[in-house]
Amino acid sequence: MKKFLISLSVFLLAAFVTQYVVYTVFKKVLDSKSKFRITRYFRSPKHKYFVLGNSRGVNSINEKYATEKLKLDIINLSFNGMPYQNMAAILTDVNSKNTNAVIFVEISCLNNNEFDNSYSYYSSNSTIIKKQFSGSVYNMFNLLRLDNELFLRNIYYLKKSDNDWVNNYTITQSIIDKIKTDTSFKIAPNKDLFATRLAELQKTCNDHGNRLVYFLAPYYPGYLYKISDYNSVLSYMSENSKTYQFINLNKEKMTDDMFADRLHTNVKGSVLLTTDLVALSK
Amino acid sequence: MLPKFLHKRKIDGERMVMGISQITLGFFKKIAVADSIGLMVDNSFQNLHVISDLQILIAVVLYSFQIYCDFSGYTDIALGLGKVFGIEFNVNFNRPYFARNFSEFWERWHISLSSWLRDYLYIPLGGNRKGEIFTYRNLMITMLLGGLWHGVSYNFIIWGGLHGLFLVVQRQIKFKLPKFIAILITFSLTTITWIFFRSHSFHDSIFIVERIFTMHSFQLLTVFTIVKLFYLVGVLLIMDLFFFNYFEKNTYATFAINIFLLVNILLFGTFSSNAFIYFQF
Repeated sequence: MKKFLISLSVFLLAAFVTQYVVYTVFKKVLDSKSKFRITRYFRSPKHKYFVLGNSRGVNSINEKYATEKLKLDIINLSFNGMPYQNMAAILTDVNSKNTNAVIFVEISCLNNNEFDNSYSYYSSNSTIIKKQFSGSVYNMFNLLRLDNELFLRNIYYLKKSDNDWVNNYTITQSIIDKIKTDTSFKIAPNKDLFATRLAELQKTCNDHGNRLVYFLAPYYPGYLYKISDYNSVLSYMSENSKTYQFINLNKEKMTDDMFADRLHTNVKGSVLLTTDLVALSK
Repeated sequence: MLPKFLHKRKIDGERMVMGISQITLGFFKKIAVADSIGLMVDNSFQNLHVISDLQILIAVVLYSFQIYCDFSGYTDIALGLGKVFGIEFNVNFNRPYFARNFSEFWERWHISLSSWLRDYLYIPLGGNRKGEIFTYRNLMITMLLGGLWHGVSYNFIIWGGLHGLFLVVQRQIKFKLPKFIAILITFSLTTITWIFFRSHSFHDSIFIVERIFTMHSFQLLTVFTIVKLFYLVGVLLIMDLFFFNYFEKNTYATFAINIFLLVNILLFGTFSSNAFIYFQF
């Protein structure tokens, strides 16, 4: 029994130390080398323009085009399925490190209520994110912070840049045909919560002297009628135009070959939208 | 099994440490491999009509490893706990995907069930003592009832029927294939049978079989996840191939393997609650 208890204690201690060492080594290397956009931000947090949102934010604003052709100091921090809480934490971090910046937020991510533990990956990079995970298991077992897609993406982008990560294919006729059978949905299923969140983000940016610009990335035109609260969201933004700067990119003249699917634009669409968003925000 | 509980048990530090090692292996198989694969497989089987043929094929292949790791992981945890408490249970899995034919597969997969089917169905039916035709009949009846044991569903009956059929067909094959080819064929055919085991309906099973044999579309939606899953399957195969039963010795190598597995559990585990697949049977 004594031998068993000693062996078990040594095993647990060694496991605990090893997971800490493995985490520290991985994090150090990835934080200094990876070109994944959120890691790039934490390495160099000062920029003029920021974009935040979910996959619609990723695919509508083309960072590579904006940097190389429009000569803008911009970073697109949007990520697939980014929930509001995680987005708000990054936005607060951006505000704490920048002034006079322009922050674009794609409003369809304001409705995502799920909290994503993947962002624990960045809890050592940001006191705001660290606070969100305080008291959780991620504090005790550091290696758990790497148990997510963000870690894998950081490895993937060790050698290549991700600033041109925009869908590079065109919507197919079968996807267009399928729209008829799609169920309708809402951008803001809970209107009060939507309003509260708009105000929260605005206050954070105002407090730090940064300009917040809300925008709605385009949906495939033939899909717009499936959004049951599309007009009411636009009305709300219009009624509050003195409080919030809002740009509806669905007004742009978009052709079918600018869409990757019903929800996302492709490279061609993103080039047009990036130019227009920056111009309209001035 | 009951008599094992009645024996007087002694505390044996060596066996207890081995038990902890086997439990670690079991958790690796369950939390890191089976449950991580499970997320991708569940998502794929729910969206069969949206995802590509290649994605379906990958989901089907990975399901073979999911069910193996889920069930053998569960067994390893049980056997390991048994060792800790001084009870030795029989081995239930013996590297089944390295079987060269279906007879060998059933000597290695779910050994407690296959032994029961052999002792209480196949042999009482006459086994192979009454000529070829009766042997084939007995194999088919045994495997069909083995399928039915899992649940009253056409899919389980087809799954059992296919295993019966493959057992019959392999008896007709007189030539010997190279070992690697034989393993690959047995694994591929076993994987096809799992389609019927996993699908929601017979219609879905046929749809999947059609899609993986025509292969028209190749987009992968979850490349990062797929790479991670193939890494975990790779670790599993290396464990089975080179470190099978590593927990039966308490050496520094055992210790290092345990730490390695634990690191992989923390790094790649799926910690949302997932019941063992075989709990439903």
